[in-house]
Amino acid sequence: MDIIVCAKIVPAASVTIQIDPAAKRMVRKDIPQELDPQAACAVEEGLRLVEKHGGSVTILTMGGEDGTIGIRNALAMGATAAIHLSDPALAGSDTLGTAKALAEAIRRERFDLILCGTESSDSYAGIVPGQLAQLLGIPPLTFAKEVSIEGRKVTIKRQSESGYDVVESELPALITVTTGINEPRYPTLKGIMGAKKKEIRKYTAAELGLGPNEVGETGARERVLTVGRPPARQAGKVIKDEGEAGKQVADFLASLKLI
Amino acid sequence: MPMAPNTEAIDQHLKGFVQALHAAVNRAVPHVQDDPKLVDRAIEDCKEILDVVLEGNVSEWLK
Repeated sequence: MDIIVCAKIVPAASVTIQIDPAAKRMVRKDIPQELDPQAACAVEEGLRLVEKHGGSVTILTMGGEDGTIGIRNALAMGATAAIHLSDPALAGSDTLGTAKALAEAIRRERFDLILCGTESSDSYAGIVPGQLAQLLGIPPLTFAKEVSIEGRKVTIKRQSESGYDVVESELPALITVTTGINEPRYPTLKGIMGAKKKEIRKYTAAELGLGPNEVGETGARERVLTVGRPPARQAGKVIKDEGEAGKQVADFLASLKLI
Repeated sequence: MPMAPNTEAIDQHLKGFVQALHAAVNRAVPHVQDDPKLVDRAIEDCKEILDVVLEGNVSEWLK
């Protein structure tokens, strides 16, 4: 079972995210980075599947050199190897450009299963996995809260509003996992020391056969038009109990049609 | 003053240690009440990392 985990490296949780007002993008350069917690769940699921069925877990990520620490995090958790798409020509790619680059890298690998987080915890777009499955011509199984494999058949429990749906597919397939699927392991000393000996292969856009019309700033079809803060929450209504608080609460809930 | 040639590698390594400690603590804290074995193991793993850092045998880290 050869598994590729598409993992984003994001600003560390301790960092207050800043937006570059000119580029309308998140500032990512020269700030501490880490493996996206959502991707860590995908890495963990990949490791558990390989522990059960044998095989390899390869981490695939796209981003600047600052992302190496996040790749090492995943390797220290136990991943077998990593592929880093790091090239200024890829900078500024939109979601489709990102999916194209990931797909081209994946086509150069042997794989049975692609695992992704449902969405990254910095931009929360959640678009790339679907695009990636389409480009690779494999079925996407999304929002998995449980994954099991039997032979060439993969089954997931797909999180829904009211519970879960059971979804099956033949391999190869792409699965997006929810954060509730597992608790990612943390790297141990042995894992950290072993990670630095593991292979990180690198590809440029040209090596993937991708030109400026497909990836990077010029290849991007999405444009961020404005970036703003969400509206401030309105102050709540305080009800003092002077004998009629219960009635006032009931009236308030009735006004919202909650009772 | 010029930077020592291995500064970046040491920096990366220390970041890896700190992030591992952080992850171990984050994993353990929610289970203080319900899974003392997990918490004990996380503490032991943290101690193992801290012992290596305190020992300070940097050349071993970078091998």
